Amino acid sequence: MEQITKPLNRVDGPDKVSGKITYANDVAIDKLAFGYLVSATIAKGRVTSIRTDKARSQKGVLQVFTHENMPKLYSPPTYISPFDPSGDSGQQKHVPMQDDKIVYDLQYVALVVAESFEVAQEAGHLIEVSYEEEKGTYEEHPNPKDAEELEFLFGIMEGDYHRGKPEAAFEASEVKLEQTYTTQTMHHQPMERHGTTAVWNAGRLTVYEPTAWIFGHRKGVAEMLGMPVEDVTVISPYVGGAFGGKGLVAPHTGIIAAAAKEVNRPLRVELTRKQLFGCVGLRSATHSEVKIGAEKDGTINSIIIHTTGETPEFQKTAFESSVIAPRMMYSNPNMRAKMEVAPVPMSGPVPMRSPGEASGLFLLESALDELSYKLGMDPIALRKKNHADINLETNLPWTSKHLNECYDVGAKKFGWDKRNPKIGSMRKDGMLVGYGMASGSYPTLFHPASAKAKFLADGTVELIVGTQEIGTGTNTIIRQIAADYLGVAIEKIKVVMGNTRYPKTPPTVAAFTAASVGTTVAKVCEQLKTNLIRRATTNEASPLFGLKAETLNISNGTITNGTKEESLQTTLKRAGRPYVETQLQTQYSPEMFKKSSSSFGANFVEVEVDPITGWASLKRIVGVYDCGKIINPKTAHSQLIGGCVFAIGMAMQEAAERDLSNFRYLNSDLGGYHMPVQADIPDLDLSFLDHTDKEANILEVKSVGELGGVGLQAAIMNAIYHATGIRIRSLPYKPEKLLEIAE
Amino acid sequence: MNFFQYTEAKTARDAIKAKQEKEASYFIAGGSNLVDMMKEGIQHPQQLVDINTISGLRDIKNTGDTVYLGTLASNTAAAESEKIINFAPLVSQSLVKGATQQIRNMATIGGNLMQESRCPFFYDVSAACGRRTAGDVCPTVTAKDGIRTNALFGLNESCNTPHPSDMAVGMLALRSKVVLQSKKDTRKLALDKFYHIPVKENTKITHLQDDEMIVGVEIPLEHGFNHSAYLKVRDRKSYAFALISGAAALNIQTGTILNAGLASGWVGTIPWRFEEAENFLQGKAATESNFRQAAKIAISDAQPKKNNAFKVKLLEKILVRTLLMAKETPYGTNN
Ligand SMILES: Cc1cc2nc3c(=O)[nH]c(=O)nc-3n(C[C@H](O)[C@H](O)[C@H](O)COP(=O)(O)OP(=O)(O)OC[C@H]3O[C@@H](n4cnc5c(N)ncnc54)[C@H](O)[C@@H]3O)c2cc1C
Ligand code: SF4
Repeated sequence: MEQITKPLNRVDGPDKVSGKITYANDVAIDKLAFGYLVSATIAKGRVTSIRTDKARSQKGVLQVFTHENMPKLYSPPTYISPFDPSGDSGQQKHVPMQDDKIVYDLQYVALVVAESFEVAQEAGHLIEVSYEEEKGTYEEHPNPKDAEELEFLFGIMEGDYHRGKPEAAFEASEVKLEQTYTTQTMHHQPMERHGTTAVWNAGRLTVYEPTAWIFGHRKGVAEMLGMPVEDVTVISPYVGGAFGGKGLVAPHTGIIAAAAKEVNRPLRVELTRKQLFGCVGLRSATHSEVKIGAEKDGTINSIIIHTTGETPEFQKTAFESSVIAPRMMYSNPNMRAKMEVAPVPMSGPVPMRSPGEASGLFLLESALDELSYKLGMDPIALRKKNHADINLETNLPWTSKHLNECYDVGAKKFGWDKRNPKIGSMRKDGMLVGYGMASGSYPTLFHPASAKAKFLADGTVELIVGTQEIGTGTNTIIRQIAADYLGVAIEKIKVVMGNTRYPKTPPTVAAFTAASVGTTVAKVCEQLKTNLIRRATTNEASPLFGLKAETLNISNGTITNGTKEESLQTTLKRAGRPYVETQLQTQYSPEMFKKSSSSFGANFVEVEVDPITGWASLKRIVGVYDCGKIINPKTAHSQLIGGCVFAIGMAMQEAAERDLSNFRYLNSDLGGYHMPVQADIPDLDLSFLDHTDKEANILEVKSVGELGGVGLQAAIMNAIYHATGIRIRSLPYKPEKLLEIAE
Repeated sequence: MNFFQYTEAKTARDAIKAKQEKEASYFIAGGSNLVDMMKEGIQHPQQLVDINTISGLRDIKNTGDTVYLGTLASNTAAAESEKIINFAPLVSQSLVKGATQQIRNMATIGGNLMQESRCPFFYDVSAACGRRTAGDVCPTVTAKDGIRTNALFGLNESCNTPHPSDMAVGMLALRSKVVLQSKKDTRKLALDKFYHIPVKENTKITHLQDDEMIVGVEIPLEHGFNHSAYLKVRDRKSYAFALISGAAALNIQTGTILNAGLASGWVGTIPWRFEEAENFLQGKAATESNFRQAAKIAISDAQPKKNNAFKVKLLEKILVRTLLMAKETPYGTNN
């Protein structure tokens, strides 16, 4: 094994940073028309009139669509989970412009199609819409009083989980903690906006779309348009960031495809930055009531969590599922984790980086910190005391778990021993200093995938997989895996991806690409290798004729047993073929359900707080992670950084602001929605433990992409508490929350 | 964005003339604020008069008793100028906390002083807003609890949004003057006389006349300030407007304050100066307890509503910290 574990640069890196990459909506297309979607200016109610004559009379306008003339699009009667392997799609149940109803702010009310974007936009501004607004009263966070049962949780989990006797065990505990934690509504805002280029050709549709799930999009679009899946091709050459937000089919794709058909022209419509705030899903706000019962020695008896999440009226689903991670985190024999939803006017929620873990470990790791103070116990010691040696949710052993080592290595790197546990006792240059920590975890999931490997006459190999490059480095690690599993130089390997004409793969979400697509690539390469070796050993003309396949290996493009050898190109030539290819589909196997696999981590944070103003700054972060074998330490490390930046945004500054009198977004631009910039990010010291996980899968990998920053939100608030004695239970931090500081 | 006429001016007089000849004409300098508003459909100019083509408006000069900034000096050039850093560092200290490097490279002095509201309703053309459309009733005035960012001073039941500029706050604490030119002559207005609090039926908050143009800003050196600091507390550490900012300039001689300049951003509907607190500090020792008293005086006539009540206390604390920072930052030590 030579390429796996090398910190290789991303193959697409230089082209990306020099602007050479063609993204989906950069693809040049003949006779392209452009569109502009007009958004509603109420969050709930109906359109009473819509005047489009001024817009239509603009030179260059081809057509204006509203609910009055828009073709009917199908919307599914029940919501299909993207995690239901048989289902695909994950299309949201609501499709705009089908009737006069408005169910969320910024919902599309019209689409202008014109010869240029500028004409379409100007015409869009000339459309006059009148509304009848339905008044409501709204709150910042979902209220458990309005809670309703979930249609389902994430699509795969029960909404009300329990083990043991959680309530009785809580009541009987010596030390009790009861608190409420809330998290905010958040927006994804990848650099590349969502958008669709739809091209019809003899009844067949090709869609160019930045998506983290080409096959889900294909199914969703086909469903909306009522056409066979086979007649739709989705192409996603590169994706300029997704963060969970481009995984599910948003309705714009169907609307644009239908409009293209009507105007009989290829059509490109990109959403505006503002529309990304309202129309393509978000991370739902949550409200969680938490109870923890423990003994004085720190043994946790019971954890009870009741979370209410935001959801739209038309679809009672939740992706910010705070109640999943806490089920398996510690060794408490008694547990209740219940999730419900409260409807508000919003578009269908979608996953957003570490969906569920983000809020779930914020509440759990904050509560544990509070408990550590109640007990007078070191926060690390409390966590070690309650270490889950097996997964208590499934009652299965772990494939591997090195969480205690994460704590130890992290504590040493960070200098945890210098922490004076007394609140407000540490100072530096007149500023209050706080140290905080928290655990993290993310499951290693697997979903079946397929791949094709093709050896060509010029000695190169093509790996053909439907999967998509959302910027995580998938393309790069597939080459590394293929190089090692085939025994061919990495320069000879080309990855062809991002098209539904290629072998089917799952979405690029939930950090399962390496474990799913990666292992599939390894297996198809093994299969190609066997195929090529067999062709040599069964050909009388080959020097390898008659040798046992097990004695042969491929190295640097040559089949060899150490003494005899033949290059793969010669083998191919002898076989008289232009190429040899093989395809394979991986499946769930019973083995996979005999053990539980998760990555783990420990976060350490130092904050400084001005004792006069209460203004807080992050000073440094140490993260130590147990993620199995790391295929590419460089791309993996970048994922950790990205995860931490997301967590810092959630902890310190990002939040959708809505006008509570009408639930319209107030800060829907990048100036007002405060995603972190460089100045917000302190020194990050993030590293992996040096362990592989032989039990997890053939690549010995666990999840990486989503783990960075899980639990960090709590570690930050724990550090702020240590510095100031003020506990922030409602994210994000804001300067006014520390105003009550002692001095 | 609509079609408009574009005119290049060669002199200030030309520019004013061209502007007066056509309805809905605007000067355009760096364009970083005006073009944004055009894209959002807030401004629909008939004509843009480009003043970048006028020569002689880019200079930064030290005349001995003043430092003078030509209106077309970029925010970056001003922030990095030796003359500013040595003689009026508060201008540089406040400028570098504003916007981003890229925007500061384009933004000009006059454009910065004239920049428009950052209120979410101002930017939402479907909402009522008296600062966008004369006569509209401001939704934050009618909202019982106000909104988090609302101003505390200079309220007049017409518009509650705080003035967004950082630079203007630094300049205000230094008691700067705006130099205005009309077709006939030039006049100087102290910055706190240049702005006026919002009034009903009027979208303007300055005394700039229709036939006038800003040509520069003059910073007097007579007050002998020798210490200064600017503190900007905000929701993101860069590329964000302030929640509240504080600007302090002090003339300290052997521990005694001979003269003080104290102002704040994002608390007034216009850049806000605390004259009473300045007067209190004059002749006092530069101590924390005096700073605390000055801050108390500064907040005494704040008018908060529920959602921005916290700003009063935060302002008080920020002023204390800013004064302490200023005391620790003599001219020549900040860069
Ligand atoms: C993303 C973003 C973030 C920002 N953040 C901050 C911040 O944190 N702090 C801050 O203080 N500012 C901030 N700004 C505002 C920025 O400072 C202003 O946009 C800039 O100073 C305007 O200068 P300009 O030359 O580009 O003005 P323009 O856009 O050219 O003009 C603005 C207005 O001034 C008028 N004008 C220009 N010059 C003259 C003149 N000589 N005489 C009369 N009228 C004139 C124009 O007619 C127009 O009405 C930000 C802006 C952006 C876009
Ligand atoms: S506060 Fe001022 S800018 Fe905001 S809506 Fe009211 S009038 Fe307009």
